[in-house]
Amino acid sequence: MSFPSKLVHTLVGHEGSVLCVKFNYNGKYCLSCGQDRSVRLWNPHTGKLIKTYLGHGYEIVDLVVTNDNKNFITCGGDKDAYFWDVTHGKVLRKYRGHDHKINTLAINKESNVFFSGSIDRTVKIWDLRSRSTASIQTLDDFKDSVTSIYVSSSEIICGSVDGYLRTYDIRNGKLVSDFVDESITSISLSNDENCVLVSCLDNKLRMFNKDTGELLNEYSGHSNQNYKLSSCFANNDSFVVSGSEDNLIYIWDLVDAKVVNKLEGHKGFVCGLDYNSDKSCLLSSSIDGTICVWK
Amino acid sequence: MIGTPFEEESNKKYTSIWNQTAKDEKGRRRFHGAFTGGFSAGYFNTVGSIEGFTPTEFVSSRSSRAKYTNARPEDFMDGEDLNDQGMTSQSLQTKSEYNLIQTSESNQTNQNQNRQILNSLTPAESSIGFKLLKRIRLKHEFSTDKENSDQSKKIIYGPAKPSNIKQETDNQTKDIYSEENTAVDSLSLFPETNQNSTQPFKFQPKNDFFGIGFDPFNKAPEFLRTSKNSKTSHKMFMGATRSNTRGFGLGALEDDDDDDIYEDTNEYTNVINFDTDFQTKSSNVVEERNVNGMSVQEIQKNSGIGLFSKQINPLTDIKSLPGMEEFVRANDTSIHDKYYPPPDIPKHFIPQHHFEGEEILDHFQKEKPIDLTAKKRAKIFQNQNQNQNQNQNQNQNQNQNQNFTNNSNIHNDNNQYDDPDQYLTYNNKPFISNLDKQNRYEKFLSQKKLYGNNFEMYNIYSESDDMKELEKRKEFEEFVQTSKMFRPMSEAIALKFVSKGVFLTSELEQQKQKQQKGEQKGEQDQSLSKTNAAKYKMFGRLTRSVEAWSPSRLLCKRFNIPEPVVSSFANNIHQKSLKNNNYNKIMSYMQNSNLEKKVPNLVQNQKIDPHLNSDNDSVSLQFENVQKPSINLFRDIFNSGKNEDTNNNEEIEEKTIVIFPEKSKDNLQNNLQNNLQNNLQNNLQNNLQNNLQNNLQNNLQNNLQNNLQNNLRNNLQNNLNQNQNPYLFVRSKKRSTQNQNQNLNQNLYLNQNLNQNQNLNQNQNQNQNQNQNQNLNQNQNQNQNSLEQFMNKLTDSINIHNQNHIQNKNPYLFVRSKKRSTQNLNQNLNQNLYLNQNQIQNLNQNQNQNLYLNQNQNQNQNQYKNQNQIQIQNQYLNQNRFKNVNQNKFKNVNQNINEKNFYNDQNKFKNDQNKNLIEDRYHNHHHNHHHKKNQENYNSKHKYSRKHHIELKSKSKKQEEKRRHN
Repeated sequence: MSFPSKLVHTLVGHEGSVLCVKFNYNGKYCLSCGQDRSVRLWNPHTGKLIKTYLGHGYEIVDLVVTNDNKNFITCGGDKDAYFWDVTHGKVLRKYRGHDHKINTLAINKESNVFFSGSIDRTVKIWDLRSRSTASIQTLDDFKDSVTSIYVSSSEIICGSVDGYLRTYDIRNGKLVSDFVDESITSISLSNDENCVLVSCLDNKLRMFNKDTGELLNEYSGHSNQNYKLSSCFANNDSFVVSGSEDNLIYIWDLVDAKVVNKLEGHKGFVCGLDYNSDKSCLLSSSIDGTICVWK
Repeated sequence: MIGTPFEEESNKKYTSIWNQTAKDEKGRRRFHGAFTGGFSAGYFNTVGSIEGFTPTEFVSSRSSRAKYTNARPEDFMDGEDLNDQGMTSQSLQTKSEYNLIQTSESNQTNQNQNRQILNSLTPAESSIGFKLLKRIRLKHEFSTDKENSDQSKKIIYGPAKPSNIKQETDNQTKDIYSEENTAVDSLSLFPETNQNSTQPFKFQPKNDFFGIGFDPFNKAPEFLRTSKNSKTSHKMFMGATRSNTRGFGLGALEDDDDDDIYEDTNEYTNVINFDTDFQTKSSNVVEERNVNGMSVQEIQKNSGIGLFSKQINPLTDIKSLPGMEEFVRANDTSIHDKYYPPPDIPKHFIPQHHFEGEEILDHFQKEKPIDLTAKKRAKIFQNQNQNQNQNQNQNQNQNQNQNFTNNSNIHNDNNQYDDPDQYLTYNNKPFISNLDKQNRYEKFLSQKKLYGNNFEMYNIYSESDDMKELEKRKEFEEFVQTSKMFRPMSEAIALKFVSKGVFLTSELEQQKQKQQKGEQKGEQDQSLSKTNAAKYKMFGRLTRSVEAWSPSRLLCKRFNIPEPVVSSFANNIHQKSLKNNNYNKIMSYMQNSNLEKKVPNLVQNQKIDPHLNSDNDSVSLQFENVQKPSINLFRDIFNSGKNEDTNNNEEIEEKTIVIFPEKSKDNLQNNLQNNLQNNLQNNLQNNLQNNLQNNLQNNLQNNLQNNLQNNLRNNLQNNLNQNQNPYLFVRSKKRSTQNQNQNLNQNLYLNQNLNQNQNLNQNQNQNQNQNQNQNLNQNQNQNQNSLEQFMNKLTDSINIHNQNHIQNKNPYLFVRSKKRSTQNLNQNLNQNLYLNQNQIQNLNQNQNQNLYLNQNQNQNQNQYKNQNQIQIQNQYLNQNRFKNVNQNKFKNVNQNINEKNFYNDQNKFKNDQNKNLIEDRYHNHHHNHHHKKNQENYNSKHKYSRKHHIELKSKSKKQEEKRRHN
């Protein structure tokens, strides 16, 4: 039962704030994107920059990697989702349809459908398999900007600024909306997909039982009032990790909800987090333009 | 002989002017008509001749094709042109003076052409010797132009040369070749280079946009000189030369009356030989032109300068121009408009209007984006939704408010929530038909805000209102009542919440504040309760809402999940209320009972007796013969499954089992409809026929019409209302309209049945009336009543069927395969049952309340409530769920009930919702206590998955152990 505590590498290269950092599917490499309109491919274990992808016209907010590690999708201020080829560094397709900046992306495990949540209060579902670039379906139940999407095998869980956690159950054809009352900025699910960890803008993380919607735990101590910071489960669901607006990374014990550790290393608040349980490696990206690799 | 001789007057007799006629020299009368007359044409201005009009013979163009002939000018001239003007074909020849080569016409053209060819072969540039000669300003000797001989050396006619060429010639700096090259291109028209011997023939293209023959400088030759650009001047020159050639007449719009078109008609040669003669003629033309009475040469002489031999700037030397001597060149040529300076702005003026109470925004501050938090935005969005929904909800709210009269009466003293503005914001204008009254009512509301319940302080009547004291008092009471009645919806709900004592007072105040802001929608009440639940961390049931959602087909495909057919939401309900299956019973009863036989019996009896009015005894007999419906029927319809005997239950259920697999939904419906339609229609027709013979004919017709209209309307409303019931289903927007249409159609169809039923009833009613008049005994009446009841039940059962059918059409409940149809029907019924159970409880409460209230209130209100009760009961009957029906009250059911059903539905729904909410809250409150207690230990009560739970437990234990070790 260990949690990352040691700063291994600091990846420097981005010229603006790094808004998102993600491992690839096997955890060997990582991709980061940010304000400088570039996507960068790193080896977090050696700390080396491999490739830079240019093509976006606005800041890049989120990215997802397909399960074959050949492609990745980025989104941001362009209102389009860009589908990239990793090796050639070219944009293969652009998915157009949102009326506004896209906040978040999610992809299903088979990587044949991806989801984009936007400020225009919709989630659009895109098909990666067919040639059409039109969206399959638009979910427009949201009353405010959609900030986070998680896709499980049969459910789409979306968090929105309107304070609702909406679960679209594809199998049963129903929409379950849980009222949280606070703007949701980030969603992550435990490995067994029974618990939903929700970051809210009232300096709290909340963990809900997905099936009943009951509150299981609350985590507080960090500060998160204005920005979309991410949070995640760590290390086989024994810890909860979240970025904070006081430049630290907070780690809570899942059960006790007590702060176990605070990682210090960034000079700006931490907005992107990704955890790789296989390597027990934590990536964090910050406004200061750096990416830290914790082990 | 000098002068022309006078005509001999002796030959002429004086004729007065009006007798004079214009004649041509042949004596033909030239002019006709009263005033100017038209030209004579044909025979007395007809197209024909003295023999009449003879159309030309038809000539087939097939056999004799039209031949192309070269048209000559003569072809376009009539005899007058040719003879009178002395122009014959022979006369059309080039003038000798223009015929430079002195050849005959035919030879000249040929030789011209030959020369042109020859010229084109010789090099365009002149020989070097020629150039040398030219350079020492020796004029070449090849000029054949005799008229220009001397002057052309000094005076050049035509426009100014291009400036660059001028400079070259003046300065002589550039080399010869370049000079010559440029000259060849553009100076072919200049007399300097005007040499027929060397110059190749050139066609002059028409470069200007003037009409043919138009001369822009016709009366303003000054402007000829002002043009500096060689190109434009070239054009003008061309225009000028052509203008003189005339021959094409005057334009219709030209107001140049002074021009005599026929001035020089003899010079057709100019036109015809224009191109060939142009080069030689051009200079002459200019020379010959009259400019203000002076020839160009004269002008040149007068001004004392060669026009273009010197470099002359017409702008500066304007005095030198003819007729401009008296003009003085202005020193300041710039044109000034009047200038009005802007008013002086005071230093402290801020160019921005700010309203009272608003802070003056700093300029920079304003440019900043407004800092909107998520909550603020949510509020904005809510307001938007409000506005959208407001129109839709208005009517509903009104109805709801009416229904909540009783509830609000409970809180009669609780006037702290009364905000009169609320009443008006909802456009609740109960006295809109009487504007004065409405105004008084609004006044009343505003004063209610001020004084509350101190009615003595009110002063809503002005002197202008001439009303008696009694009327005023009555109206005042009415106002008090209506102000209570038109209480906003959410307030009533809020008051209900208070009565349960769940909320703290502070929350109440918050709610009150929010209400005053106008947040009074049912949805918002839900969200309010949700926020409160979230505040107390009572997440779970209270904060959760489930809707149906249909994923797109492709999405399901990609996720490898079968498309969900029936919403799980509906499934849950189905499971809950699977046992209570009453619809089947009714249907089975309809199938198996003697219902079909009974109805015909009834009418057959009537048939036997055609004269209802005349024969009383037969009528009484008729009703005596009718069998009373068996008690089982009533039991089946009215009693719930619980109260029934087990035997009965089993029997019926067996029946249903037999029936339903065989008969699909459609069959059932068809059966019902066929039964009802056939039987009742027959009955009706028979009845009507019978009655038509009687004196009741008119009455019936009227009643039928009324009934039809009322029923249609009511039922439509009801059915639509049911569709809108959000508690039952949530459906996609796309399908809803379709669905409604279907429902409407069905309703129309079913309503026909209903109407027929009711008409039947009415007939009976009429019969009843007659019988009463003729002193029927009580037994007969009873029989009749029972019959009525029976028929009512029939209609009710149809209602149910109707409902169920509609529900079947619901897209989320829609089951495609016939196999499932029975299941689906069951399910629908079960839904009804499930809902109705809630309703029963709730409405029982209402009834109790009503009864309680009845004691305190006046008779009118009592009546009103009785009606309500009846309505409610009627509703139960509709659903076949009501347990203890007071059957006597059933007699009182009017047709009005149908109208009120609409409100009742709303009422029912809201009550139901409230109660559920309250119950849920209460339940959850307790539940949550447990939760808190157990949270520390992570007890398994919370449905938290056991696996996970165990994990967590083990984790916590391990951690505790660790800590101990530490």
